[in-house]
Amino acid sequence: MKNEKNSNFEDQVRLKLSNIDASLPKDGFKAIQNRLAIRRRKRGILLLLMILLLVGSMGTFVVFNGKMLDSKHNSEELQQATERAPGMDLPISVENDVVNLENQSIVQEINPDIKSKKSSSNSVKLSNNSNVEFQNQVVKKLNSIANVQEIRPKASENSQTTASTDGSSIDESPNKNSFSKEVMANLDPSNLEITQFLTNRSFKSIFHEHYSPVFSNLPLPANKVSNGLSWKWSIIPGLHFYHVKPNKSDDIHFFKIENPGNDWNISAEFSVHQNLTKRIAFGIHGQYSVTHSNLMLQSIEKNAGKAVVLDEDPVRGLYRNYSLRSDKIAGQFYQIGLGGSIQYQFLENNRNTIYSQLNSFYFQTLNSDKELLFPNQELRLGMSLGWNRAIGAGWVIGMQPGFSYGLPVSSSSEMLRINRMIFSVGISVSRN
Amino acid sequence: MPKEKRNNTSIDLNIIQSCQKGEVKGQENFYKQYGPLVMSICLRYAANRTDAEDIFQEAFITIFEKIKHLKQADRLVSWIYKIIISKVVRFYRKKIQIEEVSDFNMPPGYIVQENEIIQALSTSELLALVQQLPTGYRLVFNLHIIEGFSHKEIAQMIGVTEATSRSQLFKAKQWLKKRIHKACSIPTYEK
Repeated sequence: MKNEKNSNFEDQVRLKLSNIDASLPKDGFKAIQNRLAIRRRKRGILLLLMILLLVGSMGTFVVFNGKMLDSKHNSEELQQATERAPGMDLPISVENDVVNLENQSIVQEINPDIKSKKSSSNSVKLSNNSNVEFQNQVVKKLNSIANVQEIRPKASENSQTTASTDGSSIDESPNKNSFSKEVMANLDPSNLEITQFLTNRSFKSIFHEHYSPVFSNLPLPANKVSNGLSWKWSIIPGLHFYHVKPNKSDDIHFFKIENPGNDWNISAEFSVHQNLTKRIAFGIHGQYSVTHSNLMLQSIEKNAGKAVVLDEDPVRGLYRNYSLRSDKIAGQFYQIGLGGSIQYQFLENNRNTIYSQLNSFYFQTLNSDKELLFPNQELRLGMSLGWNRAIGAGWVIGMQPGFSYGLPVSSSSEMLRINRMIFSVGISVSRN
Repeated sequence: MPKEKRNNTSIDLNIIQSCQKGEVKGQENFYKQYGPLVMSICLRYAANRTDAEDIFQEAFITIFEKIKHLKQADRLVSWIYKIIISKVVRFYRKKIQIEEVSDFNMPPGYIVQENEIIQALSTSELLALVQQLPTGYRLVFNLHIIEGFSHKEIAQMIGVTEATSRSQLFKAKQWLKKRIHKACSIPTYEK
């Protein structure tokens, strides 16, 4: 009975609630579309960031891999050196499965577990014929130890040129590198590849380069510690705007400049930089700049009778009784400039540098026939924010968004001196 | 809508295909066709209209984004239900702690003549009462009584045990019955 009532209750409720009159929210579809668009944008940005991260990590991998290739190359060199170096003749000979050693401690260093039998001729007899392979490994092992000893002075020479981040040098002299000897002594003789890798100088440089942010007292990569001159090639595309468009007039003339837009500027730059302090650098720049302009000059001459501006034109009412002559001064202006800059590095990690730069250039226009509108000589002051990324072997790529403001220094037409603004993004390759 | 009826709604394949291509026109048609259904479900599950509209919007965003993965068009309504319920559960997840409401002890001999009372109530009045149910009760009530899910399925959906689902449903019904009586002010006693 109770169940039946319950069932009735449920059915009644279900029936009632199935007839809900659900009016849709006002502008509901529009709101949904807006939110979908926002989500698409967010996904796009995330995707872009992921791609950038991927590209960044790929770059790191390529550099790391390059080091690995260097490392492999060095190993091959070492192997060849081992084979031909006369100074590496070891006190060892193999005759009839007997390894003769003048210095038995070497055997024990290689593998202390091997129980050797000392013969009367101070040689070690291996117990059976199957140990030919072991003999070969012993020979290789001994050679690789000799390699390590040979390499040490070079590594220490290399380390002496390396400076830590706090300016102090790190002593990597062979005497203090007992760690490597211990590792070598405990290595399985069959793992010769690991042995060779560990003995390789490049292994250390990889370690330093990739972990220096964590172990800040380790030396920075070579491209970060160079205090010498560095040079940089840049290509700087930019958008070009006129800040001052003077309208000048006298009793007879009325000049007006019109700019339909779509002007652009592109420059090729070569610069040399010198670090003044750890953060401040001074640079000398040479630049070749091309500007494309769509400027138009309207020259209106009173009562010249060439082209009378229509009286009924309300827009041109100002020019009534004047004649109008328009000259399109579109075309390229070529400039060559010399300048200086000062850079301040305010963010830095082991690969990336972010800096701000102030610069000034003095430009000479090469095609002076366009000088009427374009300044013959121009002083351009600029500021920019730059990002450099070391890609290894002293090479650095960079990006440098910036803004510069050009002031005419001399112009044959005093009436039409124009100032201009250039927004640009430079892309550069440099080498320390 | 009972479970067995969910697959019987007529489905316009062209609209679905248009939505799968991401066409705005198709989405608009879809919204017009299925919006009332989605909204009615949201209203039942939500505590008020504002919450219902939020869930409605979230549900439609997911529908438009995921519809390209819908393989069987005949299961569209059932798929929409799943999306709405998951949105509701997510929306009220923090509130689905099991609520113990103590004020629904019915006096002895208090019999419920619900059929007549419910018939006397308008749909909007009944909906308002359902919306006043505590969140946990409302979810279980809707899922079991209206959608026809088993307690096992409900337990899996909202992360409680089957026994909890049963007890929540029992309490929800008691609570609702009492509120219905209060709303109608018709206390009746068993003869």
